[in-house]
Amino acid sequence: MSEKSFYDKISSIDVRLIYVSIALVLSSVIINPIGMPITIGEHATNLYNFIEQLPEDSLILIGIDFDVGLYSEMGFSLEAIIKHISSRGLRFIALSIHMDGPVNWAKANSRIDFPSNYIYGEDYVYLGFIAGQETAQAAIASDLKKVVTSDFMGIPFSELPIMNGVENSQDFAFIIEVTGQGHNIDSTARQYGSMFNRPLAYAVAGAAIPLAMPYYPRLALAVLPSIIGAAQYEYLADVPSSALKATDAVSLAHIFLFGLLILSHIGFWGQLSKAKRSGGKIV
Amino acid sequence: MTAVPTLFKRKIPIAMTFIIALVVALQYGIEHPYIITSSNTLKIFGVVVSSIAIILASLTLVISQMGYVVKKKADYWVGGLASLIFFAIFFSVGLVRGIESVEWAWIQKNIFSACTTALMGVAGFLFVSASYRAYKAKNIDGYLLLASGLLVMLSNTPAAVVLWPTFGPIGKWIMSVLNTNVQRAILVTVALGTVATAIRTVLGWQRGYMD
Amino acid sequence: MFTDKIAVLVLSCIIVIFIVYNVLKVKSGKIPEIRKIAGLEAIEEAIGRSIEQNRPVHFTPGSSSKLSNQYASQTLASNSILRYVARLTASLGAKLIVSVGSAEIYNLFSEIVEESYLMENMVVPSDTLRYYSEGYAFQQGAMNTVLHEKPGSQIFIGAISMDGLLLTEAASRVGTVTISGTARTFWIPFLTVTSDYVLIGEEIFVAGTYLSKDPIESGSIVGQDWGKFLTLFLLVLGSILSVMGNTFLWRLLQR
Repeated sequence: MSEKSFYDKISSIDVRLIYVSIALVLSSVIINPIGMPITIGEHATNLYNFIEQLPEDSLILIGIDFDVGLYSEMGFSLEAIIKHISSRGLRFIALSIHMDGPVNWAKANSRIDFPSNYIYGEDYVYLGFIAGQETAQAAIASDLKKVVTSDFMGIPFSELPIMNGVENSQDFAFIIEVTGQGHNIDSTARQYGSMFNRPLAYAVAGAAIPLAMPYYPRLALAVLPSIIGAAQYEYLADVPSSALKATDAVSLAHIFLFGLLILSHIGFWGQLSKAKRSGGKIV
Repeated sequence: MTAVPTLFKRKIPIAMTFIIALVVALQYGIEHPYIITSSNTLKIFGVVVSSIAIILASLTLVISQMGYVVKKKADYWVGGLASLIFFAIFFSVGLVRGIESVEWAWIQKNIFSACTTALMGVAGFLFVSASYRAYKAKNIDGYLLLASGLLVMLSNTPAAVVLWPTFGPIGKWIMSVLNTNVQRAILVTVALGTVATAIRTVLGWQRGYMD
Repeated sequence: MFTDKIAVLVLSCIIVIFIVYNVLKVKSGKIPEIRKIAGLEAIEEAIGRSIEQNRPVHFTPGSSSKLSNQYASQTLASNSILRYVARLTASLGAKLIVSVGSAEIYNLFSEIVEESYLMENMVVPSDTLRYYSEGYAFQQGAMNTVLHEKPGSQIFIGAISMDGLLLTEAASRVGTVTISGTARTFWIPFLTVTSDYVLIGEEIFVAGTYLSKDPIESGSIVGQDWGKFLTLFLLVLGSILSVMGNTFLWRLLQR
C-alpha cells in the first residue's frame, strides 16, 4: 500500500480533530475574550436611526420566529432591539408564528431589565404562538383581534391597555421580524410589506441574509445580520451584552473556517497536479 | 351510484377551494367591504385549521411511536418509548399546571431548549466538516463560488474588516448586486411554479393530494 | 373600489390565463418536450446501484414539506417523484424507506406508496413509511435511519430544511448517492455542495411532469414559461424606459 503524500494527508484530516480544534478555539475566546474591534454596518445604523426618530406614542410589532437553538444568533438581536425600544419609551406587541417563539420570549424576558416605568400590559405585551404560519400573518395583518383575544398568559385584551385601538397592521408604526427561516422573511414581506405597505426590518440568521437582501432597501429598511448585527446594535444603542462578547468567537470561527477551506483546496490541488503528472485522476 | 360519493369527495371540495382562493386573491386588488370581510374570516378559518393540524401531528406521533413499541421493532422501540414518555410529561404538565407555571418553564428550559441547542451545535460542526470534506472547486464555477464565499465570509468577520476595510464594500457588493439579483430571479420562477400548482389545485387538476 | 395593488392582480390573472390556455391546448394535442434534467435521469441509475449493493433506497420530502404552508407546491412536486420512485423500487425489487416529517402528508405518502406497489402487484412492507414527528425530531430520526440502514441511494426532494445538511452529511459518511432538490433558496447552496445531483428551484416542479408525462402538468409548465417571458419582457422594457427617464411602466405597476 503506497504511503500517503503530504497532499493526501491534508485532504483527509480526521473530522474529529477538526471538531476538537474548533471547539477549543471558540471556547478559549468565549472564556477569555480578546476584545477585537468591530465596525458598525449600515443595517444596524439604519435600524437604530429609524427607531430613534419614531414618535413617542409609536407601536411596534415584533415577530419572534426563530428556533430555540438559534437563540445565540438572533436572541441577542431581539434583546438589543427590545432594550432600545423600551429605553425610548416606545410600545411594542410581540407575537410568534413559530412554535419555539414562547420559549424564546421567556428567555429574552428573563434576560432584559426593563425600565421601572415600563409596564407589562401598558407598554408591552406578548401574545404567544399563533398557528398557521403565513395564514396567521395574513389574518393578523387584516384583523388582529379576531385572531387573538388574550395574551400568552390568558389575560384578555380588555385588561391590557396597550391593545386599545389596535385593529390591524395599519396601527403599527413599524414591524420587526426576528427569524432564521426564509419562508418567514418572504411571508412578512408579502403580508405586511407588500399588502399593507408597513415599514419593515429583519434580524436574521447568517445563512438567511441572502434571502432577506432582495427586499432591501425597498421593502425592508434594514437586515440585521446575525450575531454581528446584534453586536453592532448593542454598541449603537449602548446596551453592551452577550453579542459584543461573542464577536471574538465569530471572528475566530470565520478565520478558522477560512483556513480550513484553503487547506482542503491546497490538498485537493496538490492531489490533482500529482494525478495529472502520473496520468491518473482523482475520484 | 358513484355520483354522490364523487360529489362529496371531489366536486364540493374543489368548488370550496376555488371559491376560497378567489375571494382571498380578490382582496389583493379590490377594496369591496364584502370581499374584505369574507377574506378576513377565511384567513381566520385557516388559523383554526392549522391548530387542528398540530393536534393531528400529536396524535399521529403517538400512534406511530406506539406501533414501534408494541411491535418491538428492533432499535426503534427504545426511541419510541422515550418519545411517548416525554410526550406524556410535557402534555400532562402543560395541561395540569398550565403553560405559565414554573414547572413548564423548567422543562422548557432544561429539556427542550437544552436538547434543541445541542442539536444546533452539532449542526454547526457538521457545517464545518461539510465545508472541509465536500467542497472542492473543480471548475470555473467552483472557483467563482469559492472566491465569493470567502470574500463574503471575511466581510462578515469583524477582525478582518478592521484589518482591511475594503472587505466590507466587496462583501456588500456581492450581496447587494450578485446575490440579490439571482435571488430575485429564483423567487420569480418559484412564484410562477407556486401559481401553477395553485391553479391546478383550485381547478381540480392537481393529482395526489385528494386521491 | 380598487387597491393600489390592482396591477399585480391583473398580471396574476394574465399568468393564470396562460396556464389554463396551455393546459387545455395540451390536453387536446401533443405533449411538449421537456429538456433532460440530469438529476432525474440519475434516479433509475441510483436505484439500480442500491439493488446491486443490496441496500435500501431512502426517500424523504424534507421536514418543511407540508400541505398547509407555502411549500405545499414543493410537497406536491415531491409527491409526483415519490410515485415514480415507489413504482420503480417495486418493479425492480428494491427495499424502499420513506421518512416523513409531517403528520399531514403521512397518509398521503402512504397511499401513494401503496398505490404504486399495487400497480406492480406487490405488497408494501410494514416498515416502509416512517414518521419521527416534526422538526428536529424528524431530522434526528431520519439521520439515524440513514446511518443505521446505510441506503445505497437517497432521493431527497421537497421543501428541505436543516435536514438538507444533516441527511446529506450522514449519507456521505455511509457512501450513499444523494439526489436532492428544493425550491427553498436558503438550502440550495448546501445541497449543491453535499449532494451528487441537485435539482435547483423550479426543476423540482418540472420533475414530476418529466417523469409522469402528464398532459396537465406539461401544459402548466408551458404556461409558466410564458409567464417567465412576460416577466423578462417587462424587466427589459422597464430597464430601457427608466434609463431614458420614463417612469410610466414603473408607475403603472405601482398601481
